[in-house]
Amino acid sequence: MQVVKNTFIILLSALIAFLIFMPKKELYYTLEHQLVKLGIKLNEKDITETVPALKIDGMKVYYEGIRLMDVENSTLTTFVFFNKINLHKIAVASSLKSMLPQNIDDINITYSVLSPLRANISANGDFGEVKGYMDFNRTIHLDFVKVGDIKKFKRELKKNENGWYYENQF
Amino acid sequence: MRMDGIMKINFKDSIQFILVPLIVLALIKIFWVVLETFVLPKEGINHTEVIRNKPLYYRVKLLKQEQKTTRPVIKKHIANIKDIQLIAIYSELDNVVVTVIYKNKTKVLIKGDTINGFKLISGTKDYALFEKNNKHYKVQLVKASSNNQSSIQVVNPTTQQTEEETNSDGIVDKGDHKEIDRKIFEHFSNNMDDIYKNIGIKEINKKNKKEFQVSFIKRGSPFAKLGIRRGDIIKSINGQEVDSYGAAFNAYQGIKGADMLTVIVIRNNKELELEYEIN
Repeated sequence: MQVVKNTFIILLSALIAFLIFMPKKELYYTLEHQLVKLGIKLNEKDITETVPALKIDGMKVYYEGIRLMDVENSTLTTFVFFNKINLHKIAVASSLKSMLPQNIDDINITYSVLSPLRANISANGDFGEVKGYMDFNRTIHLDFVKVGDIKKFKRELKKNENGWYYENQF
Repeated sequence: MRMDGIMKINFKDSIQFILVPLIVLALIKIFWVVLETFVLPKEGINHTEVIRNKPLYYRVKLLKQEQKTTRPVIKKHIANIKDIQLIAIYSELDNVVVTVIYKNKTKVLIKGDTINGFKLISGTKDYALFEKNNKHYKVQLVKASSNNQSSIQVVNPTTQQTEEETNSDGIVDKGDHKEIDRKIFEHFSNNMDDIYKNIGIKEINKKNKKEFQVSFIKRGSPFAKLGIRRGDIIKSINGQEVDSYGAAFNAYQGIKGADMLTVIVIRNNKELELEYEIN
């Protein structure tokens, strides 16, 4: 019993220490360096480090020098076994209005060890509400749970018995 | 004696209870510090927006401005177009070469050359178009069966469009440049998707830059009538070099509301300038 108790204490303290001492800002910079290889650059106004999360304000996303979107604030949270990215108030560049919805209120991407091969996505905005996933086969699938203004990018969507959905491989 | 033993065990347990997690904490801290110091980057990579207020060079309608500010000059000597006989003409997309007889001498002219004050501006397989004092003169090719006299027709600039190649896509061939209907221009500058339906552009990766090559053009589309051909490499748009997605996108954004458009393409390893006027 004592051994179990000690092991539990050690693991718990290891996990807490892992999260507390994690250099989140530097890890975020590592992510930025990796994204550059894919042509994506992130500019941000302010980065704040908290115990479980990293908060980024005024993020601008560029792809190959093209400004894709502005994200008012975003939060990257990690509990090692469960990770979450929240992007709040996203304004997509007007030049991409025929491909992407213009205003997105929230995008949530969660990754859990319980479903290790996919990351779940949910989003809402003036286009309605979507739920879906992104898996390791580089497939993205989003189901429209609530349909809003999808007129401008309807041609990118498909329809089945459950309603509109978006599917693509990247 | 027994109490001493219990005290020793409890003290030992307590030390172990505190010490072990502390060692774990210390080890993890050391791990992160080492990683932070030697492996992880200290700074991120930020994108610097290139602000191009004006292209490196751009064209302005000098001719029209001159017309507004200066009075027409009346020349005493008025040259006669009838002195010029067109005996041969070679007309390609942007090149016109003609052979004329002037004062019983044969002369070869290329587009832009002047003879007797008349400037060769364009041509088709049947006639050459000359310009003088903002008036256009159409000189018909001498046919073998004709009486060896070119037929000359003065083309009124206001009605010139009817004489030139006009098509329903709103693109008029003006010889040295093409005129695009602003509505069509605005449509394509606001609907990127429609561009991709009519023209295919593939990227070619060079050492430190990208090149964009026309992979297909839909037959009969406005793009086919703009003089762009399959295989053309788009080098610059309005003086702005197209060497990355960002530059291409900026160029695309920059042409909105433009009055003139100059596209430099590389065709058969030669640079070719395509000029468009948006009206």
